[in-house]
Amino acid sequence: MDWLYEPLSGTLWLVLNGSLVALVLMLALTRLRGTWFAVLAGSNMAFLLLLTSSLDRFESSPWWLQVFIQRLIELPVVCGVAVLCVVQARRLMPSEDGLRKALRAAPALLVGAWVLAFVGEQSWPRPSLQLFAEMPVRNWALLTVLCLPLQSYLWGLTFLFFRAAGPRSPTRRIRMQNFMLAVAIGGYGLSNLNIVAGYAVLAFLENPARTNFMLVSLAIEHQLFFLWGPALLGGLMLAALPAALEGARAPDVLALIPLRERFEGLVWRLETAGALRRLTRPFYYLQTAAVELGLSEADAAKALQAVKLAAVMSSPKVPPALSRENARELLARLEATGAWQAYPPASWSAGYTGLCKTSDPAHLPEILHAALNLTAPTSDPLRTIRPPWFDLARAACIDAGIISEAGTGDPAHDRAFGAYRQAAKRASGA
Amino acid sequence: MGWRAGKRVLPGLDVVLRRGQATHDEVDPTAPEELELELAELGLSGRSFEPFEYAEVLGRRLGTKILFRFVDPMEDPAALRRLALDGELANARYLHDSNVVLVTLPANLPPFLLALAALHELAHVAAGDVIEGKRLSRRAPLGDTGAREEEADARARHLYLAGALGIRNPYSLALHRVP
Repeated sequence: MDWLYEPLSGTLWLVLNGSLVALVLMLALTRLRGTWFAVLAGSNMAFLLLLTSSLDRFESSPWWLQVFIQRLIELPVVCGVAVLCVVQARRLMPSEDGLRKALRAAPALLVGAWVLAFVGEQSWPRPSLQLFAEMPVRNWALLTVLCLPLQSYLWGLTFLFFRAAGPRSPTRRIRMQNFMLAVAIGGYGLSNLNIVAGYAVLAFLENPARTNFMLVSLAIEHQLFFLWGPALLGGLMLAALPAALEGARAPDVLALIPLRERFEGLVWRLETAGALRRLTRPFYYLQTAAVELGLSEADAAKALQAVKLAAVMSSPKVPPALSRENARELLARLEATGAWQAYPPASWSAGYTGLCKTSDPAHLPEILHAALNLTAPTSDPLRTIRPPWFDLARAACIDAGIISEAGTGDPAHDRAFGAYRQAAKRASGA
Repeated sequence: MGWRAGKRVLPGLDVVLRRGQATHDEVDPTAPEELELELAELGLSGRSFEPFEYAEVLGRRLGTKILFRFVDPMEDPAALRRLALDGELANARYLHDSNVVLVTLPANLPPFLLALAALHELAHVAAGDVIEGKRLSRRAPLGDTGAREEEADARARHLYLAGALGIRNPYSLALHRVP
């Protein structure tokens, strides 16, 4: 048998369909957590397979039952296309309002057309499961007209997926995925067109021409399956495979933004409103000592920020947003977001670094950790690490009266403390 | 329950029953999906961008120019103190004569706050709060000041996420992914 010219045998057709359904269902099981489309496609196809594999049993049943089953087979496809249309409508540009409305009307139009076809065929039943049986012209007219909404939406979706396979999609994988889905939907659209043409053959041709043309129509349907079946599977696989790796940390980042905004914003406001004016002198000593100790600019900025935060957090009038508990929560969230904490990227501030004399935003966790340790030295593990800039910050905190000397060990032996004291002496002498 | 379930199954039906009139009031402009569509319209969805880049593209889309002015704390400390005491970080105003939106920012803001404050002001521009009759949002500007600020906050956070994550932004990926 040459499958290019003749239909596949019933068994082979079922095996092929069954394989596709099994693969899509397997895919659906791996994607249950992330998406529902593979689940919908798989369950619909399984339902279709179940019905089509048992059609032989209904060939001699009453006509009303035959048209009932025929319509039932179309229902999953109608629902699937309607759902796809509604979802795609949400992804159109704000300016594409007309197209959005048309897509959002899909459930009503498609289901409406299906109901009309159901009622019409129940009113004028025919042996619809007998492949070569003649079709009354009124049934042909009814079904051809009612196929128009499905055809329109299938081609509309094909257009949208082809468009989404272009350069506006961000990755090659997504472009390929959309291309394959466009081929799948377009291929299914052609298959549907072939069925409508088959209706005309049944309505207007006499045997043996009718039988011959129907065999050709069936062969075309089977060939089209080889186009849309693998394309659908490929598109779904491309959509499924890397999902676990993409954007998993985004909720953490979203939760972090307002927390960090409130925290940093309050510190800036307090500082700008003059609440930290008493730290001007310790800041000057700290910067001078940092140069003497050979600390980098980044480390000096960290020490300065840590003193600032420690001063705010240890103040008796500390706003609730700047409490130690909130600082701890912010630190926990920053650590939970891991690599994301470095945002905004360095390039964002490249244009105005000359204006911003602040530390790198990626250093905030370290600074918070240091400030927490400075204000309650026994509760945080940083003391065991003690980078040089931390000791310098501690010296400045003691000088500013933020923390007491007794609670922080013996700073006299601390090189950083000595450098700070020297800087203070030199400044006083001057 | 039944009607609600029906609406879930056929989400478009309620719209069609009301003669397909999906009014702009139904749009939630702070929903991440809606904001991502706005970014797609500007050609920025799925791409990393910084606030100034967004300002340039937004300005071009609205037919205006968006400029930034940084207030140096050494030159005008009183102005910054006023901003801090008012609880503001930045502001944006439209200069009719020159068709320019001027965003004023303190130069001593930490980078994170600077980016977020700039995006907050640009969010007001996108929402139509700054230039009368010109906006990116599908919904008309809100009347209540508090609600406007909340909308701008939500917009700014999404813009920050989108600009920082670029191709890894899940909302952008969702826009292009099969459901």
